[in-house]
Amino acid sequence: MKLLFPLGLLALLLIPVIIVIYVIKNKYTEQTVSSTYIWSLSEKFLKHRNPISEITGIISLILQILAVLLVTIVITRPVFAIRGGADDYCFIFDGSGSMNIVQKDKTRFDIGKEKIADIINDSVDGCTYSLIFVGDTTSVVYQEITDKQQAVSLLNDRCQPSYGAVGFTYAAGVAQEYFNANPSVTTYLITDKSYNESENVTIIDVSAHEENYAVSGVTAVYKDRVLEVGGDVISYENSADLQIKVYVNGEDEAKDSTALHVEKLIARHFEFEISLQEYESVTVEIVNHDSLMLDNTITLFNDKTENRYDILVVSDTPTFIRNALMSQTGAKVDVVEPDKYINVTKSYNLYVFDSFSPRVLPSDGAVWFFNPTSTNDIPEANFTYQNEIEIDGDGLLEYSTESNTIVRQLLQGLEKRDAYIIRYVKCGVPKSFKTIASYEGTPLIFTGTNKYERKETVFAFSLNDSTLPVTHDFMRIITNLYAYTFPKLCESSEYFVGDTMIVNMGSGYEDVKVISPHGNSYSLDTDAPYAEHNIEEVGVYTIMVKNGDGVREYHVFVSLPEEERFTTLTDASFSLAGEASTQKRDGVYNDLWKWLALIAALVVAADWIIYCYEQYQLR
Amino acid sequence: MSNFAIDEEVLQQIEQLQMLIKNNVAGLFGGNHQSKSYGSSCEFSDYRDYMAGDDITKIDWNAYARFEKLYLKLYADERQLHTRIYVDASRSMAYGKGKKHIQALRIAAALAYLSINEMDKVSVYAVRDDKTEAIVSNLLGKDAYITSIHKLNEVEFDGDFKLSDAILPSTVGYGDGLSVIISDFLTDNNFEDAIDHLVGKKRDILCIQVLSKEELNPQIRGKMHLFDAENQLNYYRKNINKEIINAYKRALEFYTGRVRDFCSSRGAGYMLVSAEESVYKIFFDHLVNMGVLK
Repeated sequence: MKLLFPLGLLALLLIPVIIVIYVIKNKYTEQTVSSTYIWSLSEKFLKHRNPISEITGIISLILQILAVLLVTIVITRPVFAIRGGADDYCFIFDGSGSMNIVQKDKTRFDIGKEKIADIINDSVDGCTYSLIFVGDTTSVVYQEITDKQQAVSLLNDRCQPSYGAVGFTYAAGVAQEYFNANPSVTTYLITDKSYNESENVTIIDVSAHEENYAVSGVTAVYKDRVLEVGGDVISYENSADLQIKVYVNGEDEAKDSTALHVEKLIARHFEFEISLQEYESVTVEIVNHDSLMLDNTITLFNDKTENRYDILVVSDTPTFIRNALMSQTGAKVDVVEPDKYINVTKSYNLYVFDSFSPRVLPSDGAVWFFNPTSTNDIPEANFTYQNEIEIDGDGLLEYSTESNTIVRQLLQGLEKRDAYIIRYVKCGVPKSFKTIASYEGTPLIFTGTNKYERKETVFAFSLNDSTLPVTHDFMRIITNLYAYTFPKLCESSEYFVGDTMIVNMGSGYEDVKVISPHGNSYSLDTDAPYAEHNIEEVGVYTIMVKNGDGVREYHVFVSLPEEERFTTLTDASFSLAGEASTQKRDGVYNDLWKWLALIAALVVAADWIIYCYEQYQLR
Repeated sequence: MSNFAIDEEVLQQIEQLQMLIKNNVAGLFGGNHQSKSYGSSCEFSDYRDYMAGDDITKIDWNAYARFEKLYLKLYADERQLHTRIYVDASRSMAYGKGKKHIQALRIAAALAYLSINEMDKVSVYAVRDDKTEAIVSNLLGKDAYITSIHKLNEVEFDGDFKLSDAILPSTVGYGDGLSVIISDFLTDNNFEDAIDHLVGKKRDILCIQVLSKEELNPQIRGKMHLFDAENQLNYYRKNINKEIINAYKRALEFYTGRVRDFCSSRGAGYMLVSAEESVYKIFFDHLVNMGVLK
C-alpha cells in the first residue's frame, strides 16, 4: 500500500485532541444537594441496564476516533496493489559462460541481475514476475510471483553463471507458453548475445564489446625428447599485440614465449619447440589481460604419463614381455628373477609371472601369467593348473570368434596370422573367464578376475614355445591387454564446459572423485563400468582414484566453449510467436477513499444519532 | 437566619380551625380541650351519688329536694394541652434552591398559632444533630406568641438530623397534646424510635414531610457528581438520564410510602407537602382532610 498524500497522516493529531476534549467534556458536574439518600436508593430501582448503554459515552468517542481515522485515510489517498492485477514480467536470463566477461569490476552476469532487479523494483506493485534461468540447466526459478523482494532475492540466490554454452530452446518454449496464456506479458531476454531480430521480446544486451583474446587448438607432440607445441590465438574485438608464454610440467617459469600481432577475428598460429627430458603437461597462456581470462589459458596433459603404471616382470627370460610392454605402453617395467621375487616389497600395478607361480597371489595389482607352473597353492587365482601337454608337431593357435565385448576389445587390430605352439599347459578355466585363443578347444589365452577382483590374464604356454612373440599380433595383444587391464580413466584429456566426462572404472577402484577447478568434489559410482560427470567449470579437473593403498591422480583440462568467447551473433533472432496485447494493467486500486469517505459519513451520522439519543434520554 | 413570612390573613383563617386530639387529654390546667375525665369547667356533664369526702359545694340541692338523695353535679374537664413542634434544623432543610426550611417554619408557626388560639401551650424545638433546642418554650397566649414567634427566624439550619437520638432523652410530655415533626426525612438515621417513644408517651403525633420541588421532580440531567449537604462523604455519581430519573421517582415514592406506612402503623398522622405549597392549602385541605383539624 502506498499513500499519495502521506502528509494527510497529520490529521491523526486530531485523535489526541478529541480525547482531550472528551476528557474535559465528560467531567462530572459537581453539585451539592440537600440529600443523596433518595438518589442512592434509586440504584435499587434501576432496571437491568444494557451493557452497551454503560459505554455509550465511549462508543461516541470510539466513533469519533474512527471517523478521524477514516477521514485521515481518505485524505492520504491510499493506493493498493492488487495481486496479479498489474503487468506480468517474464525474464529469460542468460547464464552462459560468456556472461562471466568482466566489465570494469562487474561481470556481465552481475549487470544482468542488476537490470532485472531494476525492472522489478521500478515496476508497480501487483505485477507478477517469472524468471527462466538458462545456465547449466534451464530452470524456471519462479513463476508469477508478486513479491518484489522475493523475486530479487531468488534471482540473487539461485542464479549462478555457468562456464559453458547454453541453449535457449527450452527457455523460449516456456516463455512462449507464458505468452500464449497472457499476450500482455512483457518478456525480457537478458543476454550478452547480439540478436538481429526479436519480436514480442525485449532484449537487454549486457555486453559492452569488451576486449577478449583467446587461445585455442593447442596441440603437443613429444618426440625424441622434443615437445612441439602449436596453437592459435585470436582477438575478438580489436587487433592486438599478444604475448604468449608456454609452461611445462607445472613449472612456474615459462619455458618459452613469443609476441604476436593479431588482427581482429583473424586467428594467428604459434609454435614452440621445447627440449624436454620428460613431458607431463604443457600450458599455453596469453599474458595480456582481457575481460574474459577463462579462455586465455590451455593446459594439455601427456596421455601416456597420465596413464603410466608400474609393472613387475618375474621371469628368467623376460625379453619378449619387457620389450613388448615398454614399447607399447610406455610403462615403467621392473624385472626380477623368480627366486628373488620373495624380496620384492614394492607395490606394482601389474605383476607378470613368466613360468613361475608365486606362493601368494599379489592382491594389490593385476596379474598376468605366462606358462603357469602350478596354481595348487594359490587358489585366489581362480584358474587351476592341470598338466603340461606337449603337442606332436606344431599346434595352431586359434583366436576366439566370440562376439563378446571383451574378446572383441582384446582381438581388436590383430592380423590373426598363424601362430604355433609346441607345448602348452592345460588349465581349468572358470566360466567367467573369456577365452582369447585356444588350441583344439583348450583355452590358451584367457582372461578374467581373480578372487581379489583384480584382472587376471593367462597365457597357458611359454612364449619360448610359440611363434606368437615374433608376430605383429603379439604386440597388438599386449597393447590390448594393457588397455584392458588399465582402461584409460578418461576418453579424452581435453573437454569443453558442457561436455560430459566419462570416467572408466577399473577393477579394484575403491573410490573415484572428481575435483573441479574451484575445488568442488564429486564422488563417482565405482560399481558401474563407467561413470559420467557433467563439466561445468573451466580449468584443470583432477580425478583421484583410490586403488588399494595407493591414490592416483589424473588431470583433464576443460576449456570455455568457443561460442562463449565471442558473443556477437549474426542472423540470430529470438522471438515469441503471436499477437501481443497492448492492454496493460497498473494493478492499482485507489478508489478506496470513496468507500472510506462513505463509511466515515456513516460513522459521523451514527455518532450524531447517539448524541441525539443521549439528549433524548436527558429530557 | 431564616426569614419566613406569616400571612396575617392566613392566621385569621386558621383561627377558625380546631385541633382534634385523639388520645386522652392529660393537661394540668384548664384549657380549651375537653378531657374524658370530669373537671371544674362550667359545662355540665353528669350526676353521681355523693360519697363521703366529696366537695359539698358540688351537691345539686335541687335534685336533693326532688329525690331526697344527695347527688353530686359533675362538670366536663377542659384541659390545657402542650403542643410540641419539632422542626428539622439539619443542613438538608436549607440547602439549595428549595425553601423547605421556610415552609417548615411557616407550618410550625401556623400550628403554634392554632394551639395558642386554643389556649394551649406551645413549644417549638429545633432538632439538629442529636439534640433538641427549644426555640420557644411553653408559649401561652397570643401576646406571648406575637412577641416570641420571631425567634423562629433565628434557627440555624446546620448539621445532621438524628431525631431519635434527640427526642428520646428530652422531655416530651405525657398524654398532653400533639407532637409535630416537620422534616424532609431524607436521612438514613433512625427516626422510627422517636415516633415510638412519643406514641409511648400517649402523644398525638403528626409527621409532616417537607420536600422541595426539585426533590419531588428533579430536573438535573447529565453527568453529575452530587454531594450530600449533610455529609460530603456521601455522594452520587452518575450520568443522570430519563431512566435514572424514573428510578429516582420510584425510590422517592417507595420512601415516602414507607414513612407514611410507618406513621400509620403507629397511629401517627403523616403528610407530604411541597416546599412551595401555601400554608392555607396545607391546613385547610390536607390537615382538615386528614382529620387532624376541624
